[in-house]
Amino acid sequence: MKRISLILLVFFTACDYVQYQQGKDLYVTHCAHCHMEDGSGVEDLYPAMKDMDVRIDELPCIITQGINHPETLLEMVAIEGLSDVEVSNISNYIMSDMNGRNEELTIKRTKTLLSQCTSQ
Amino acid sequence: MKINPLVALLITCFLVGCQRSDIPDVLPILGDREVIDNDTVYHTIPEFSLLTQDSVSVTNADLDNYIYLSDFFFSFCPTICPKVKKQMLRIYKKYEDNDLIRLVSHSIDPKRDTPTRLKDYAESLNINTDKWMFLTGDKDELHDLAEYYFNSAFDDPEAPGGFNHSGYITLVDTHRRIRSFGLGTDPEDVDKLLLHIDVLLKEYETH
Ligand code: HEC
Repeated sequence: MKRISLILLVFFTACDYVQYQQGKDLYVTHCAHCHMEDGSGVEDLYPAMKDMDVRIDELPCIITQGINHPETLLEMVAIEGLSDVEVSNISNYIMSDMNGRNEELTIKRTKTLLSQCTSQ
Repeated sequence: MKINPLVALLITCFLVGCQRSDIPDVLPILGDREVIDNDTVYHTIPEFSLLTQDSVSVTNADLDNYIYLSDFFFSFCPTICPKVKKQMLRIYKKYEDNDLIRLVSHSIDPKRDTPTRLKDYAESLNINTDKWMFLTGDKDELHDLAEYYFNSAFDDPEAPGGFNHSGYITLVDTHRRIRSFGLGTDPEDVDKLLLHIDVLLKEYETH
């Protein structure tokens, strides 16, 4: 059993394993042109998705409502047309695959969070 | 020492394959040209008069001693602009210490991109505006100018953000002539542009 997990580990590492493939595809389509494919962002204009202070619980509402920090120049407008499942997949991709954080949003949790967004 | 012919063939193929045949020794002068009285007249950037992020007037005479990279964008752009800026930033960082090189970003949305807003934008990019300037001014002048830099920019209510535009980064020499360009949304195309900048710089080393 130990040996199998070792093989699996090598396999996943070697293949740049992505846990949330649909989340990644959606991120590339809807977010990457501002936050960059690797999540590095653009200086203080478009914040990096890596090593950010945002918690996973905050992601769904940021995605569907946008965000406007008063102290920064640019505003992020709401990303429209994403289903609850897609929102949770993007959030999980950002936190797990990009940030290596062991946190996950279930679809149920995502729906709850989305129903509580304070609309701007 | 005996060399296996197959190994020799492989090594040859490898070496030939690795050669960058797309990088010329001298960059061509791009754009339309005419011959007038036996003199070739090349495509050049026309006279312009615009304002910097510090509301200082700039004409192309101010750029005549530099080779520069130009792009067209607007700060409210919801589409390709951030990627182009990321590549401009790459160029900026590579040539940060080379005083012959400048970067010039033109807003195609001067109504909203006032000098003050462009100054904020430049500050958020953490760059030095002595090296990389942001220009605004008359909208028609800016949109016309885009074409001379091999870009297009026009009002389009249907387009995201209200403008239809392209994302080429253009390399201009000290004679206002275009020597290369690359698609700012494509990092590999910008790899090529970076090599072209080095080729152009050689022209100035020998003088
Ligand atoms: C058109 C450009 C654009 C797109 C597309 C975009 N964003 Fe943003 N995003 C921004 C900007 C600009 C900010 C900074 C807003 C501010 O500072 O007020 C931001 C901020 C954020 C933040 C907050 C970061 C922080 O440190 O506070 C998160 C999280 C985020 N975006 C996630 C996403 C996700 C996920 C997507 C895709 C579903 C996305 N963004 C699509 C431009 C964009």
